[in-house]
Formats: sequence, structure tokens, C-alpha cells
Amino acid sequence: MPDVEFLVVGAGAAGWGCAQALRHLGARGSVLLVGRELDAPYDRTLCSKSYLAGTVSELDALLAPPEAWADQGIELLTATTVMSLDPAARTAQLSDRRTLSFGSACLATGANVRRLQIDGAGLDGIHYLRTLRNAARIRKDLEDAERIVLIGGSYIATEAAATLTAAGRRCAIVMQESVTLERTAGRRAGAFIQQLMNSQGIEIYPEDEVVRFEGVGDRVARVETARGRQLAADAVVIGAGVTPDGSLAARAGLEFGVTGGIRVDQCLRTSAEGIFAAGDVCEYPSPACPSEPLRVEHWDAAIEQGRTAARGMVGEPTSHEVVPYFFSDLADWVSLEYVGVGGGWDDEVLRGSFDAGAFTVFQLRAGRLVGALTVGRSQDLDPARELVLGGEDLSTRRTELGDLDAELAAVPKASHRLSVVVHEMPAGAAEPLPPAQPVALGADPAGSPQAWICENCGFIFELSEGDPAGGVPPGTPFEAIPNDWVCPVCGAAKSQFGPL
Amino acid sequence: MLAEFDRFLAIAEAAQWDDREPELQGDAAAWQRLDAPVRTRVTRLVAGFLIAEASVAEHLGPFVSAAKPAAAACLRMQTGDEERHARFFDRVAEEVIGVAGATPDDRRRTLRRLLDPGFLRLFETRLPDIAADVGTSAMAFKRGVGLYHLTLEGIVFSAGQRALLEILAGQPGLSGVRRGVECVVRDERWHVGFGARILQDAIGEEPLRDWILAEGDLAVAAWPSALTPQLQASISEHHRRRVAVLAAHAPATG
Repeated sequence: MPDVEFLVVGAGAAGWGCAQALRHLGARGSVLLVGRELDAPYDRTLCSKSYLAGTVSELDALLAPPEAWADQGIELLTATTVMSLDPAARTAQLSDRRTLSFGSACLATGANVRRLQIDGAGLDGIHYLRTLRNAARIRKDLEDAERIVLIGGSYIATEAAATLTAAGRRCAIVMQESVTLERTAGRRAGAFIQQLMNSQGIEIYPEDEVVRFEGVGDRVARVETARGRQLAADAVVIGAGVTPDGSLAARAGLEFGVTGGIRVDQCLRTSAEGIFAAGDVCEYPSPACPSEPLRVEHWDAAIEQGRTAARGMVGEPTSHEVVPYFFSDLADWVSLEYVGVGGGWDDEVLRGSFDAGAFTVFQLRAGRLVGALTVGRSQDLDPARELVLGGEDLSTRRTELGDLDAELAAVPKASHRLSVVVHEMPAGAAEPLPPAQPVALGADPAGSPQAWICENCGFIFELSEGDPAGGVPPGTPFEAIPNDWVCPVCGAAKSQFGPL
Repeated sequence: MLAEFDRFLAIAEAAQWDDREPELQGDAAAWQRLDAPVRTRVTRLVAGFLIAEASVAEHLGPFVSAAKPAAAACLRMQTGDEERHARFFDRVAEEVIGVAGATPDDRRRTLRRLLDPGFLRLFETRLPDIAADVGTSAMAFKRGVGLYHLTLEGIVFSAGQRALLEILAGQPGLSGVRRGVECVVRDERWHVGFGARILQDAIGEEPLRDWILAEGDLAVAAWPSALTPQLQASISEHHRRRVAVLAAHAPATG
């Protein structure tokens, strides 16, 4: 019997999703969640938003209160690194010098921030934003700072810029992109976001990059760019991307894919039996993107992958068919959401209007939907998911995609459709109530009560009045009313009425 | 037309249930096996109820103060219902969906971002504004009831519950959630009937009737990410039918 039945390596979103799912799935045996992270699993999406703003406490950011771990039968070991893994022997050596045998494992080791290797990169006041502790340090360091330069045009830098601007700082962004969020949002939606950020006072320097930091004493004071700009800076926050942390997997001899992530199959199984991978470090084949494997660095995707890995660990291997999703909030100015596989589209269709601030941009590659980014039109996301999974050629449906009055019909893929069952509620306008059986006015419904009451809401149905708006003429005996007639006030079924 | 107030108290008494009673452990396991689109739809709906039930529970107080004694007794009973609903949906969020957070406020904060702006305006701006005014005049009270009972409960809640039950009907593993939602539906039905009872003598007044219909149109469209166009049309149709029935029985005015 192994020391640990289920070993989860990494205390981020994927590890948390996996450990939680193991318990929810009724996994028998011990669950150990071990990570080099210093803190218990927390909501990393808050790092550049409300936690950075100081409106959410560290305790509030935790994914589970401290006592919940023991309650759920999950042993949590933070600040502990898994030094090595022997897939054949199914043992793991921990940094606390213990060697544990395990039944199955999930590697959710996440990613490391990409650090700039340029002059002055070691000055004080230069920050990377990845963890809660990074955010706390930035918040403290920026207490007396006025001018902040952010490096990067993607989500970390833009969200942090928005948060800090809303907190009264003057922010400037230096980025390689032509417009903010260009790589996932595209030029048009990215320009919308950039214009919004400009309107809030954020200076943005596109198609440029930092080449040197200059300091006064040990602290950063200026940012020099490739285009020769000299930007004064009391502090710098860098969001230059991440690289998957596959070092443990590499030492264990696991196979890697083309994106630098651990290669897994559709059930998230690595090349070593009994070992799964999930989260930023995992490269997987997806029906949402048949042409190439995916490696996704988003929060929700990591949790979903952790859940799928857990199913495999309990002996229910399941194909991971989740279309990745993420959201981004720029202060309280705008929220955007995205579903899709990211990048590589050659056509866009706009649904809605940038001017109205409510739109969805559908991104197509060779006619197939690969992503949808929305502001203010969350209702487009579910159909978009289905369209991404369906893989239909939408070249001939561009007009429909862009027409606000057209319903986004999902592709006919039964496994992703919802069943619809009417549950004793009002009949729909599209399916009007069938007419009641005609009864001659004045007919004597021998012995039938003249009034019935809805036991749910107190509505009194009087035979003499009927319910003309519901298709029941005056004088209709209650027994003659069709069974799919419902209470006009609360929608309860006819069976919920009793004689008064 | 509609029962007297003491009848509503009797209905409410008979419908009492314990929000801790539905067993959700099996639902939590079933949740892990659901397709992601189903999980997303359910999560959006639960998010809506989490925010909305907390809001309606919070803003019922001014209605109690402004109502006559017989109606006030019903409103006090209703307050207990709304608080129970908020607790139940928080259980679903925490125990089934696995929403992070140490407190219900944390979970509401986490889920709030899944909701449409129009929905949030209804429960975070419109309802508090209207509730603050209900004690100022008889018409303000009637409009408040029109918004609270016929629009928010009769349309938004009703449509959301129907959407949720339609999904749950196809997910036998979520029987605990379904049981709780069915109890909520039963409670909400007497709330709607009670609101209709308060308004039945006044809804013949055209300005009030038009106002309620207009508010209904706005409410129907407030939750597009969770409600299909067909469901919106269906619930809108029912709202108009309800108002028509009430108006048909209202005393003649003018």
C-alpha cells in the first residue's frame, strides 16, 4: 500500500481543482497536495486586481479556509518542493528529505515568470507580478510612488495598470504589441481597450520595448526604450509572460510537446502510467483545436484540467473537451471574457458595437471559429463554445454571426446540447396553449365546484369568469380545462388547484 | 380573485422547509462529471440567485414598515423565505460548484462577475432605489410591490428557476439541488400571488399597469447570458397574461 494514494504536485489552480475533485469524486485513500508555493491555494486572478488594490484580504483570497483542508481529508503541504519523481517505482522525493510512494500523481507545477535580462534589471522598485506575495510587495512599495511604468501589453500589465490608475497612480505601458491585448483580442477589440485606458489617463507606448533601467542609487528612476524614450519611473511592474515549469517532469523522463509543456493524451495522461498533468505545464490534444495541441495559461482552464486529471486518477479517464475560458477586469471600467483556443485567426466578425460598449468579436481560422471575445455580451459565450467544438465551417454564416437579431445556432453535436424539459411552468409564446374544450355558456357542470384555488399562490379560478387570456372561456368546468393549462398568476400546474 | 392575506400565511406555513435538508454530497460528485457548458450555465444561474436572493432579503424591510398589518405579517414571513433561499444557493455554490471563499460574501463577490450588467442594475440599483421610496406614498408602495413581486420574483426569479429546473431535469445526479430549487419555486409562487393580491385593486389604473408592463419588459431582457430567447419570450407572455387577468378583475376606475 503506497504512503499516499493520490499525490498532487503544485498548489495552484490546477492542483487545487484536482484535489477538490478527487474528494468530490469519492476517491478512496489519502490525498496529498504538495507545492513549493508559500501559501495555501488562493485565487491568483486577484493578484492584479482587487488584492493589488487592497480591497480584498489575503484570507479572502484563499480558495478554501484553512480548516477546510483537514475537513475534506486533504493533506496540504506548502513551501515544499518535490525534488524528484520515479515513475516506475512511483515514488517522490520531497525537499523535507522524505521519500513517499504514491498510487497515482498529477503534476500541476505551473509556470515561472519570464524575467528580463537587461541592464538595471536588478534595481529596487522593479517588480514581477505572479503571486499574492508579489502583489503585496508591490502594494507596499508603491505607497509613496506616483509614476509607474508597466512592461507588457497583455493581461497582467493592463490589469495592473488599471488597478493602480484607479488607486491614483500615473501609469504608462511600454509594449511590443501594436495595441493592448492584441494577441488574444485582436487589433480592433484591443484598440477599444486601449482607447478606454487612454481615456483613463494611462499613457501607452506601442511597438516598443524596454532596453535598460536606470536608477538613482539602488532604486529604479527611469526606463529607456528601444525607440529612445526616457520614461520617469518611481517603480516598474513587469508582465512579460511565463514559461511552463517542467523541470520535475523532465528529471522524471516524461515526454514533452512542441509548446514546451508536458505532453499528455486527451485524458491528460502523461507518457508515464499513473501520472497525469494539468494546468500551465500541460500540453494536450483538444477537439476544440484538432490542428495542434494546446497549452493554456489561464485560471479557469487550469481548474478544469485538474478536474479531468482527477477523474483519470480515480479510474474514470475522461477526454478533456473543455473550451478554455478566461476573463479580465480592468478596474471597474470594463470586463471582458473569452472562450477559445487563442491566437492564429485570419478573419473576424463583429457582433454588436464598439461604440455601444457591448460586442463580441468572433475569431475564425479558415472558416472555423477558434475564439470569441466579448464585452457586455456574455450570452454569446455558450453558443461560441459549441461552435468552437463543433468545428463547422462558418464562412457562409458570417452575416448570421454578426447579426444581433439572429440566434447563434449551435452546431448539431448532441453531447454538447442541453436537454430541455418543461417543468410545470407557463407555456411559451412559441407554443401557445391549446384551446380549451368548448363548453356552452350556462352549462350546468353538475356537482362541480364553482371556484378553485391555486394552493401555491392563492389565485381563485371562478368558472363564471374562466381565463380568456389563457384560452379558457367563461363557464368552462375546471375538469374540462386541458392538463397543460397553468395558473395565470404563478405558473403552477392545473394539478396544484383544489376546490374552494 | 386572490385569496385573503391569512390564506397566504397558511400557504407559507405549509411550505416551510430547511435549507440544510437537501443532501448535496452526491450532487458534488455528479458535478465533476458534467459537461463544461452545463456547469457554466448552472453556475451563471446560481450566481444570479446568490446575488438576487441576498438583495431581495435585504431590501424587504421598508416594505414591511410601509404595509398594513395583515400584509406586513406576510412580508415578515416572506423575509424568512428569502433569507433561506440565499442560504440554500450559497450551499450550492460552496458545496456543489466549489466556489472559493470563506464566507457567503466572498462567494457572491467571486460569482458576481458572471452576471449581466442589466441584471446587476436591477438588484443593486433599481431595487434599493425603489425600496427606499416605498414608505413615501401609497403609489410608491404599489410600484415597489410591482417591481419586487411581479417583476423580480414573477419574471426574473421565475425564469431563472425554470431555466435551472430544465437543466436539472436532465441531470439526475443533481437531485439535491433540484429538490431545493423546487422548494424555492414553491415559496416564490406564494410571493407572486401575495404581490398580486396587494395590487389587484390598483392594477386597473392604467399608469400603474403600464409601468408594471414596462418594468417587466426591462426585466425579461436583463439576464441574457442565462435565459434563452425562447424562455424570455415565454416568461414575457406569461407576465402579460398575469397582468391582464389582474386588470380584468380590478374595480373599474375613473
